[in-house]
Amino acid sequence: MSTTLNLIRGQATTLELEIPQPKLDGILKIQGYKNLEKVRKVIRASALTARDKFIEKTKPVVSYRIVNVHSVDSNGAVLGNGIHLQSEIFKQYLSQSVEAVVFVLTVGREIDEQTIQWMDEEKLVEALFLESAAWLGVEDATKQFVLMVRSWAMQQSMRMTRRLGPGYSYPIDGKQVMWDLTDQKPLFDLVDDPDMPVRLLESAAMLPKMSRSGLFGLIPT
Amino acid sequence: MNTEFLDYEGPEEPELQIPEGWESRAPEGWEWQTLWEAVETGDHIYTDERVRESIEMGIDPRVILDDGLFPGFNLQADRFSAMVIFIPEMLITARAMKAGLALIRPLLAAQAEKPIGTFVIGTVLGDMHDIGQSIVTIMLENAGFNVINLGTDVHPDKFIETALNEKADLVGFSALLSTTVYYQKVTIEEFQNAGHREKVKILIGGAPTSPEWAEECGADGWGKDAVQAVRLALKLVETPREVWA
Repeated sequence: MSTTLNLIRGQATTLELEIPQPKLDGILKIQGYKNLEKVRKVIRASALTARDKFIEKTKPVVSYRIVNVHSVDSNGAVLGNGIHLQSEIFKQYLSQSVEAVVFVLTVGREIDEQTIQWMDEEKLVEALFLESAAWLGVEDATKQFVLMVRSWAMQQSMRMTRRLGPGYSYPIDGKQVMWDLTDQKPLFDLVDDPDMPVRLLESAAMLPKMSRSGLFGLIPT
Repeated sequence: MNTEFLDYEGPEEPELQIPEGWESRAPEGWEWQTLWEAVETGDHIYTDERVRESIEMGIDPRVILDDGLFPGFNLQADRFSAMVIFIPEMLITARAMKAGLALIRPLLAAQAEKPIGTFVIGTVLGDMHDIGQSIVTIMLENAGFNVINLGTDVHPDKFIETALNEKADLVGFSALLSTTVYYQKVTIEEFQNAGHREKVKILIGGAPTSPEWAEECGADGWGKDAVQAVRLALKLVETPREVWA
């Protein structure tokens, strides 16, 4: 486990993160429960079981690399060893960046395995809450990584852009513009870490399912 | 093609719909209230016990299903559609319903009562998301369908082969990624190319899908959620289509 980031330019690193502790209320809120006082005991108990199982099983890990941003235009951006990412969003969000941190993060395959086991046992409520807990876990793990990158960036007299990820859309001139999920492949090529515990399928889906990929631009201050 | 989807049009706070004339179909002094409540609250242990008692009392299994099990289940389905309850409550109700159905289904089969229809379900090629379709599966089974769940990452040929072998009435495929919804369209086209498109009704669903996408794909229906998907399946299974050889 590490709380400081060892970012060596150009070198891929895989790092264990701290175990996220998702809150029960957060898990219930994801499933639509706004008035938490009214949540039935049986539902709360299932959510608690799922949360505890998540904490027991999760192994959050991030693989990352710092790469150069070579060029940015309205078609996309060229990073690292000439890898082209295609989206209009980069003109808005990456044009001031000289470098970027590319990353792939996961809360671990044991979460997927437990979800499948519970589904096989027809414990669908627990499986559903486990996915919710894992979603919060991914959020927490991402936050841990952001704080580490931010701290490192400040030491380097740089600031971070917002996180950008394939499959998400971002506001540009009042419109939502998509960074297509098919760009998972070049993003994984940029991280290119043999120790990375996440596999990319042809469909651009990641395995384990509870994983996240993306990049942060680094702007000199 | 007209792609169908259903919006919930019931009351904001649904109430239990007591089956008309249920007393005349039950032994004297019999009550269903406790079973309605058990299904509603998801008490699968009591549901199992009460259904066993009903069978021992000689009540017709179709009556146990319609008068004993469905009222509590339908109440929760309406509440779910009205967003009074959420998926977890719907699932524990579905589990209770399933406990009762497990006892009744063999008796219905012995009376030569057939499932409402055969439904082949799965997640399209490249997509590994499975909870959503598992939820739809349990809801379809509770509604009386014979469901064949092919799991995740299902090739179009597998959907076609299974539909053919099982003489399916309906086929449903979900997709949860913007990159995999495309395979919903491909799978429907493959049914067309194989000459089987008119033999099945096809429903699609999943977070990135919409009625507009379903129309573009050439699907017969789009399910907003598990409950609406089942209601749509019940409607579509009644519509005419070519028969399997």
